[in-house]
Amino acid sequence: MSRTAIAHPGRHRVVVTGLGAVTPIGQTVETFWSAALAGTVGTGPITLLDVTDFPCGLGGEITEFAAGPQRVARLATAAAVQAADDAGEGAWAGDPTRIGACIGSLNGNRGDFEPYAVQFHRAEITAPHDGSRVSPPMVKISDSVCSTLGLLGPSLVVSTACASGNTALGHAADAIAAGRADVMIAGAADEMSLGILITFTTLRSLAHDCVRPFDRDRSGLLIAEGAAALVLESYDHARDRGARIYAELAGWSSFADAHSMVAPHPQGVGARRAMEGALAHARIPSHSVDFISAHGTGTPSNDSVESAAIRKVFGSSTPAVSSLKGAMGHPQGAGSAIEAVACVLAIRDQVVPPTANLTAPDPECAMDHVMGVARRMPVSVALNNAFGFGGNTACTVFTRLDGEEIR
Amino acid sequence: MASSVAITGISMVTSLGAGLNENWSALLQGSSKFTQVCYATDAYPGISTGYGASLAGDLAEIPAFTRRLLPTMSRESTLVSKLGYLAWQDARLAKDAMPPQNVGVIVGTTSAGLDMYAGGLRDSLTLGPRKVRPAHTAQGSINAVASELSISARAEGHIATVTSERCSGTDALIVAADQILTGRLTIALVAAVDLLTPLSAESSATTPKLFAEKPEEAPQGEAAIVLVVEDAEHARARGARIHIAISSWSTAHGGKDPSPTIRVMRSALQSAGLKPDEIGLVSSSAAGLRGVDDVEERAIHALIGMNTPAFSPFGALGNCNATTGLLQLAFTAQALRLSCVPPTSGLAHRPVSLLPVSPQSQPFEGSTSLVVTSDSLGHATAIVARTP
Repeated sequence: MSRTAIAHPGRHRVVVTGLGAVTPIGQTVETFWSAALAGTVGTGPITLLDVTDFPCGLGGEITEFAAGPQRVARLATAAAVQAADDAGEGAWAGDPTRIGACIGSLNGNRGDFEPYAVQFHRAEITAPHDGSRVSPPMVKISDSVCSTLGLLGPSLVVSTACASGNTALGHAADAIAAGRADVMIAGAADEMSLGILITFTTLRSLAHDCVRPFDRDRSGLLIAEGAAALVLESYDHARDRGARIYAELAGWSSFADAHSMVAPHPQGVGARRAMEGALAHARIPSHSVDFISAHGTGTPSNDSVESAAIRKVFGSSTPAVSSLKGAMGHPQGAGSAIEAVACVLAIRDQVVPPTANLTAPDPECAMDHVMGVARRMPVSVALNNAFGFGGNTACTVFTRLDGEEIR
Repeated sequence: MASSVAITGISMVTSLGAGLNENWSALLQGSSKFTQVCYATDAYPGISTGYGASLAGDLAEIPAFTRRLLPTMSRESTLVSKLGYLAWQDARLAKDAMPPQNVGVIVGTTSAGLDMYAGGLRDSLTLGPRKVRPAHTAQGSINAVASELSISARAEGHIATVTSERCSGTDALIVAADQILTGRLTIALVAAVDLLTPLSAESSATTPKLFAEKPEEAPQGEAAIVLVVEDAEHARARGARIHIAISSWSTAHGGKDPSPTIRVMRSALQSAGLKPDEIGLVSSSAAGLRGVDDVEERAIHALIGMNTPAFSPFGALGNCNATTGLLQLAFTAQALRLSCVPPTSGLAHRPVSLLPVSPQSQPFEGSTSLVVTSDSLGHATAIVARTP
């Protein structure tokens, strides 16, 4: 047979040159970061949905962002435009066919369907309607980013439940590393929807008041919404245009638990493998990791399984660990994209945000928690964890650009 | 580290039948199964009526590896888990042939789980949110099919669900190839599935009218397919039968002049180190769709010319959405193996001929093919594939 090799010649390094974030604790990168460092809590009563029948009506919303159709695409595009501006004009001056977008989402735009379903089941409408007009294809989320920014490369939406953001970053990085693109906008977006609220209500996973990741009194998660985008570039492309480089996306990895649709593997097999795989891909030893942005949802099962997996990889003396979900709630698939922005900023500013609402760490979750206040510390390597429903796990590793010596 | 990837297992179910051979025979006979469908469940606001082609069957007798399937699983999850088993068998892999962490799952779909999502909403609105079954709502996520296949196959490697309309399946294949070529996977179960939903069962066109001057919206054809994609060296080392080997690919979105279709074709040929006249067969994704048939016809004509035979299976199958590219690849493997171009149905309304497609099957000689897939939203992929 033919032995033609597919082009993966001398894989390209991938760096981060632009950031964008729209979150419940800040709708720009800098307001988000300030709030994260201050431990600001952005969860509260849900106002975007009628939650009368729900036992928990709390969540993390972006009330400043207009409700209505294609909200997920609009959230993603808002974050992408921020990131594009941040990266500077030079990022977009090249061949547009070599610039694309890869956006993650848990439920995509399925929320667009909900107002009609609610009206129907409440007998407010009875006539048939053209569903295609209210629920556009899910890929419109990344298409919207591409058309807004004039990108003509790949456009793809990926979904790996709550790990979608990291998966999108990984696939975008692979496209650059393989030489198929020079620049990719990668990130994720999800909105507050009845569908996701129903899912976590049925699982009895929602917190009573607030999210307390890794705390002995944690009672669950709160649904949130948001979006984040990172401009990823090949190192050569960024260097040649004189770009400001925040960090290198040095490695990523994904594994499946292959265990259950609704529960993590009790030994955290997928979580451990994803962390080890991402570090191996980055060629970074575990002892070089300074900061872990934990998945840290605040559910009893996730936090204990994740803690055990982290200790398995790093030993009892773990890197500094923090979860932003105490502050934001759980922004679903967008969570790990927002947390990737935090990892990059932790490297930029040499500071790790605290886990909001964590006051009494569960002994089962014994790690080096950053709690109470942000911690000033050297951060050269940050590991970003994301462990989703259905056993979807994905981790990314960000390093200072001078990270060669780390390896 | 791998240098190329090969497809060593194929399983599928469409409106024409189950399995590649049954579908191939139906294609050769010019069969099609379009009927009027009325999609009405109490989960949806309103009723959808139109034309479409439903699956020939739901593979009732087929196991999902050794797993007991649950009635709460979506139809898509159940089908793909069963097809995964059949593809694994077709690849002649033993049950525990690989360390599970070296086997991944990547699924392309546009609508998987939508029924379950709507059903969860209905139950919550009529019974109250606390009465909805958790297993039911979990199936409403688009990624549930991939998770269920990973559980059924005990595939613990890379997992992802991708959606890019008709290019979803080929984009899933590209993700899998990236994982294999970087040494992170040895084998990937690459699947695509799209079934009729109220949002897609509204075509007023009774059959696809390929390359028509004024194409209508084509009726949808239900389909599900699973490919075993493997590090080619690994496949050779274990003496596997290789259906087809992937030489290169390209993917793009948007732009008009040149169209993304012609851009990806050029790019895939360039990556494979081939000239257009070295292509022996072209597979088009034409399905009677505005912005697809005409664009592909012009692009293929401009780049490949009139001397290379071409075919589209979607006159017989309907618009198969996310499964489009993987179905093309499977039929291309069969065409190359048998040196036979399958007939293209639905050509009756064709005004001009810029493409050598034929309503009859025809023999040809060649070992290299170009598989072109596109949609009306401006997504396009091209894959260069060769005989083993």
